[in-house]
Amino acid sequence: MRWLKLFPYAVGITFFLLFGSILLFLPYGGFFKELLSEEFLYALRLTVFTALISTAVVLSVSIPTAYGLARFDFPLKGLIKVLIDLPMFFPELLMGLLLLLFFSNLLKVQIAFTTTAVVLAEIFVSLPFAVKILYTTFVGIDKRYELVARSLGYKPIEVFFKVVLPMAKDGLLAALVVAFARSFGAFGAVLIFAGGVYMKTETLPVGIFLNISYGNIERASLMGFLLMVVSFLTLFTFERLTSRRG
Amino acid sequence: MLRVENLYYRIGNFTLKNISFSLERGEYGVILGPSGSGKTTLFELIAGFRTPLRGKIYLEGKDITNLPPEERDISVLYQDYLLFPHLNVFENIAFGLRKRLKDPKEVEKRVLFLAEELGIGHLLGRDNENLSGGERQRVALARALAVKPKLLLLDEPFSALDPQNRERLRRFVKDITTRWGITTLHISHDVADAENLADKVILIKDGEIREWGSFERVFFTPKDPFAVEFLEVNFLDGVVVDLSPNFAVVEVCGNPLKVSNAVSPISKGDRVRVYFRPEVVRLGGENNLPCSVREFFRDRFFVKALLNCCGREIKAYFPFEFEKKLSRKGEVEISIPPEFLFIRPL
Repeated sequence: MRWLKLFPYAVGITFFLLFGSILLFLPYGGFFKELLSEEFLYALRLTVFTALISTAVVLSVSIPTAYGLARFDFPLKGLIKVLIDLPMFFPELLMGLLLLLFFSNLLKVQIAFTTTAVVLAEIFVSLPFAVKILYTTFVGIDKRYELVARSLGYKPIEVFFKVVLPMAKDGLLAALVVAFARSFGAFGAVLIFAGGVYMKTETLPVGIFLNISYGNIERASLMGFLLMVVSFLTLFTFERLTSRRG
Repeated sequence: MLRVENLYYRIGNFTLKNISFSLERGEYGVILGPSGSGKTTLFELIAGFRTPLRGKIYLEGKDITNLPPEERDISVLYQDYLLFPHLNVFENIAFGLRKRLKDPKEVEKRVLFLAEELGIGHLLGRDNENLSGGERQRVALARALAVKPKLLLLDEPFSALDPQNRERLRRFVKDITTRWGITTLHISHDVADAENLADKVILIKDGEIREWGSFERVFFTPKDPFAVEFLEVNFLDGVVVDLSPNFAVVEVCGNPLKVSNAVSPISKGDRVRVYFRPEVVRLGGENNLPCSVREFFRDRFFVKALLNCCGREIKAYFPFEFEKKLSRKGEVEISIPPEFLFIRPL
């Protein structure tokens, strides 16, 4: 069965070639010109800005949601869990459609095609993943730790901050990384709900799409390359932080 | 002191009912029972992790039935110790103190004192991941004792240890709680915990207390049939044929037995039950009874024998050198010193 190790090699090499192919299409001639182009800088700023806000919102919502699901029983809990998990299993595009229908057609709130819509789309795309990670984390923390802390004089809210959150550090970090990466790379929902408007709701993923449509493969590749670098750095930082605690 | 009155609690199909017992200040109580008997639920009710549907719990005269755990002054210690993994040994011990004492120097002083007392001073800077089972237990105990609890609750604290460590830590816990006068309630399924540690024993089964009282009362003269079996107490029935101020003579299947202890007043002619523990049975000597050997086996340095005396199964634990005197289906004369025999009227 030792030959089975050929499989990871084959898959690994395939991905390496896939990732590497982007290097062939980067705008080496005017690399810095492209990098400093107005469109590129706009897309980068918007992507970082919206991803940071949505990550902050996602974390502050997913922590209490996941903890509530992990620790308490309440009516319709099973159904609520399914509802929160569901978006992970359908296309982002559908989430965009749902947001558009809900906010624009049902609530008649005029936020579609704005930066707010970008943030909302990113939040709804990444929230289920963060809740899932944190739910598993909280379930894995023996409730009796909290009971011990309470018997030592701490109120439930103090126990949460002094025992539960520090013990959930790895899960929090994972949720943070995944929420940021999902937000940073959100495309389908952003495109439908915020529209792919040049230099308005143009995030890096939307920018790749727009530039491919115009036939500007070099700029699209540069945007794609940056997305890859950010993904790599996030993953690398995450691995370093978790492995150091070993 | 701890007083529990008529506690009632239901969880699923399981009911804990009529739970009443008390411990004096500084006493060591052991709640003993097989698994599934409701020990852990009772533990959680007393700690405040659950609220009883009926009944009261008083600690040092104060009604704590509906108080949250953080206001009860009860420290808990679990069998897996549950040291906080994100804190080192020092911070684990200091955890409860930091809530109560504002001055960090006071906290440090107290942690150092406790660590010294419990022999873990050298571990203070260490992460608790690298500690041995015994060290973890001491750290957890220090953390629990640091806040000077009015009651220390222990949930099977020794069950995860090997026999040698268990023995050593039993002595250690008993020594510390006795020296510091800490009222302790210890949950266990292991009769040996009660034998070694208990001032009071509370025997629980199927959510009800079957027997409770002083160690001697419960271990030497249990009334409840389950208690008799669980605690391995022997008994034989007989009639009081003679009575003097210091002892009674009970005739058991034609054999007169001198008995020094009566649980309640008796008179001549009363039908009584005579209780004695397997450990007090001797071979040969006075105050004897003919029995036949059904089987016997060696358990560490004892020979555990199952005998048939007066038509009843009797357990006897002899020192191992007596093994040679026993033979399967052979006859033996056992004797029991009068001071280890107890009678109760039937």
